[in-house]
Amino acid sequence: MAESVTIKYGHFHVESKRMEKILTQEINEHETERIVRNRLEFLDWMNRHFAYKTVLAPDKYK
Amino acid sequence: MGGKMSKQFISKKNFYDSPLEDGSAVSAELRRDCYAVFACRHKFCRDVCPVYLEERAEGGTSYGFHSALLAVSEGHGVLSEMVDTSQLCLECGACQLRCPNTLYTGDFYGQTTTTIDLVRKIRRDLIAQGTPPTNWENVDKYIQEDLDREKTAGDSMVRWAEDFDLPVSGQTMMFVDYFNAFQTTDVPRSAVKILKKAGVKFGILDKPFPTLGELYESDKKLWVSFAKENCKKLKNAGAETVIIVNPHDYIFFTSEYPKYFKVPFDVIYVTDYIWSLYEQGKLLFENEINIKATYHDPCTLNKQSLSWEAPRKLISAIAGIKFDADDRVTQWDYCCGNGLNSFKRLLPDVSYKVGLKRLSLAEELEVEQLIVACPHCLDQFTEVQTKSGSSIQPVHILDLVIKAAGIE
Amino acid sequence: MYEVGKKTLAEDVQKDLDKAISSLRDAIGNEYVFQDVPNRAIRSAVPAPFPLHDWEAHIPDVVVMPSTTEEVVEIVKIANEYKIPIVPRAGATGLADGAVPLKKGILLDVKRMNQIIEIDDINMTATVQPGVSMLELNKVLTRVGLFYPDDPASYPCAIIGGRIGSNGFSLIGGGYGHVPNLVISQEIVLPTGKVIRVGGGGGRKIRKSSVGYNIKDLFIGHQGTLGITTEATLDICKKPEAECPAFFGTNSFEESHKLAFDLEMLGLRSMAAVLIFDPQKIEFLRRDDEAYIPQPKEIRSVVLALMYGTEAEVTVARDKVFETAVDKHKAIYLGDEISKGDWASRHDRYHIAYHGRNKAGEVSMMTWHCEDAAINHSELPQVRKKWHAIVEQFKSKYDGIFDDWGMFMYTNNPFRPYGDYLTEIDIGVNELEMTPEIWNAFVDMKRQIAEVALEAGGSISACHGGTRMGDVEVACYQELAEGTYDLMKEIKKMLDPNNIMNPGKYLLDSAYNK
Repeated sequence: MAESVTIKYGHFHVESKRMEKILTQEINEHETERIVRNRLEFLDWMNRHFAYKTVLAPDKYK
Repeated sequence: MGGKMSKQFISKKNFYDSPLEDGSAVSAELRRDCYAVFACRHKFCRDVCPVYLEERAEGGTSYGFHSALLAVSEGHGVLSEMVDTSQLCLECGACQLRCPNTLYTGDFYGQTTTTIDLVRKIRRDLIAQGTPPTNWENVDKYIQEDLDREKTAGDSMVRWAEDFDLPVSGQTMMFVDYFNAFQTTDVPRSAVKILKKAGVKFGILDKPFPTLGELYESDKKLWVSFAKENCKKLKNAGAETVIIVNPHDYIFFTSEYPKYFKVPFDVIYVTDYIWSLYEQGKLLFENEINIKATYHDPCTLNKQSLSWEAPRKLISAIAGIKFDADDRVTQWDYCCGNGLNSFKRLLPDVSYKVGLKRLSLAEELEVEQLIVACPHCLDQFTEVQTKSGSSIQPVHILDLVIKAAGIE
Repeated sequence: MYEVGKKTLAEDVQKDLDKAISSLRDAIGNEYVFQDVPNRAIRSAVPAPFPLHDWEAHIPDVVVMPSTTEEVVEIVKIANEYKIPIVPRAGATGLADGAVPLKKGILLDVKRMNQIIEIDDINMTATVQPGVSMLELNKVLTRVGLFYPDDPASYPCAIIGGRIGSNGFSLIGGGYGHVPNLVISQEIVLPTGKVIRVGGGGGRKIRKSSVGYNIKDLFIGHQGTLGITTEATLDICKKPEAECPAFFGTNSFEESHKLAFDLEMLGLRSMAAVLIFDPQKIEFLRRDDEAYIPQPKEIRSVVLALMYGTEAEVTVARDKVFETAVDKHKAIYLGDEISKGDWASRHDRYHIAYHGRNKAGEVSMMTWHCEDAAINHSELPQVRKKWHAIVEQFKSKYDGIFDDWGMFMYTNNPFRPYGDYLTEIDIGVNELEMTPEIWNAFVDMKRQIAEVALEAGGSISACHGGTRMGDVEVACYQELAEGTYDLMKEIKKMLDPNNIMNPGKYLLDSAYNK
């Protein structure tokens, strides 16, 4: 069964009880935002690296 | 400008503060932290490392540092065997960002890879046990220069600004570090001229304390105490907003100081500040600058914070510049070669190679100038350009803004 | 020869080793010979689960980093003189332990052999040294609109020498071919130090030649047991104009299996791969992947159709794919965002230590183990059921040590995406708590998984190699039975009379038993 997740700083976050034994770090909201933005830009970069254009669904299927 | 809270990027692991030394056990937390990188072993970190791309030395990658310490924890090797590999890190931040633990799930699990902090810890612990990184004596000399200045410099601290008649207080303060105050004086001078032209009222400290990151790697306590003093002085001077002209300081104010104390004012990097002045119409770019140019993202504004847009916007707003720049993700594995803290003094030859590689990438774009937004990048590229005879001229973005705005 | 697991060497062996290291320093320079523990220890593991409790056994005696073919020849000669093993190592991103020393010795790291020697944009070849990564090569090629289309899951870090040594699989191999199709010719330093060139034509840029034995392929996938590639000429292409990754959700694995077949049968030349994600994989992704967490519950399995080509080709192909998936099969298109983002994250979404869970649902740090059998399309459902049952058994017995991270299936046939699939079950393995008992359990689990693949008529490895513990006996004595393994041993002994090259792999030491 998939897990329930929480929302922290506007993004999905693991339920804190699952991390009790190994959580060792403090991360604030802007650091979270920085990670998410970099992830999205990196994914765009990977698409551009492999092909000039990414073709997506025809309009009628969107 | 007031009211806009500055961004602080806080990522802190307290257990790095427990020193490691030859013969002592690795703590459970550090073992797990190192394992989190070893668990992957794919080494995405390796292939974005500007030093690896030149030297091919895996020991100096995020994988290398974490795995070597994990090996120590399992009884293989000791810390002092890392005196050479500990030199190899620029602290540019590419590896820790690119690590899947950060990039894909850092926000989800609240756990990320923090290689820069780990390398600082390794260097600090090596120094503390009397086996410093190879060539550390060169770094020590450099640190001593700033410590001497702090004790003796007096008025020369603000000699760079003596013709500006700037107050030593104000709601808006510009913080100028020793590197800018003594070496790249044109950078803070340009910043002052631009701010004055836009009608900004601001002050500077008459005697700032040292902020150099090299000291952070050898004597964290002293470095933090200087940081506190600087922030106290700025606050006492009435600062609500502090403009920073060295992106290394920007990272210290926004990512390092908040680990130890509350920074009691907003902090903004000079290019972000100038862009907002331009957007508000307080600064007009009247002159064309007819050059072919590219832009180098300082590691600190690109890989370590979110301040990479303003320089690009400013360049694009200046008429005449034929601008062709690699995107910021492509630039994750670029660096000028200076590094954030001690690298250039630990490995000057490799520093040169990394810088030369960056200039050659600019040459491929068939441009004349490489625009930078960091005084250390400017200093490094100027040195590499002179030594190599490269056709690429480094130029600080504030110089271009001055020309475009018709200042002087 | 060395005795595995011993920390100190016999006096005469140590003396020989010291002399050999001294010769190595003379041959390639002090700077590139490493004897310190950190530099040796970090070059002992690959991403496959590693026996942390027995790390010492895999730490090489010395690491060398040559930069030229001549230096490699010197190293090989020194190894022969002192009968010391050589383990070649490139990116060390493989999952079959090819680059893990089994008998210590000299670890030959090829990463300084990183020259791109020639890009021929008329005959569409790139000639490189073996220490160049695909990403490095493509950063150069894409500046002039070209591309080297080898795309393993480790694309951003895998290095070409290792791709050749392990006979790697490419995610887009259904369109562009896999490593054997992409390597046109090679220069190889044989175990005796002799240098040869294999591949078609006098200029070594001919893709298809009927002259002589097809020796080139013998030197692809040998896991470093037959020599060291020191140069390779690769087949490059124009950077694709367009890609289209289209993700479709279904209610079950069985529906996905049928949909995948119909997509295979569309006969589209621009189809580079068809992938199936099974329900356990979707459940795993729903734990922490922001693209899957919000997906509706009825989506239990996913099929990805992946197209590359000109924009015109891809657009036409895409329309047929959507008609088949959505109109005919009633699958649910997962949306543009996930299609674009999830395909781009394919390379490193699965290597994250925090993915593991124990029975209580706590995050349990684990490494990623990937089984990679090649299975015919018709056999996928039964293999899937059996594999999950095996993993479940070990997961229940060893709580928090193993975790089932679900299955992917990727079309495996080069240039024609149908017929057989790289069939992958991903298993979390808790290395930090590794003990000899747990390691043996892991090996036992692997052996059972390999046997299921073989019973279904498959190969136990489509992309990594059959050299890991647990796999290797099944590979040598079952899959390669009927003469192949015997011939391998003959070839090994003929090319490597002193058993210098990566000894222990594929149990080839037995070739030397009197």
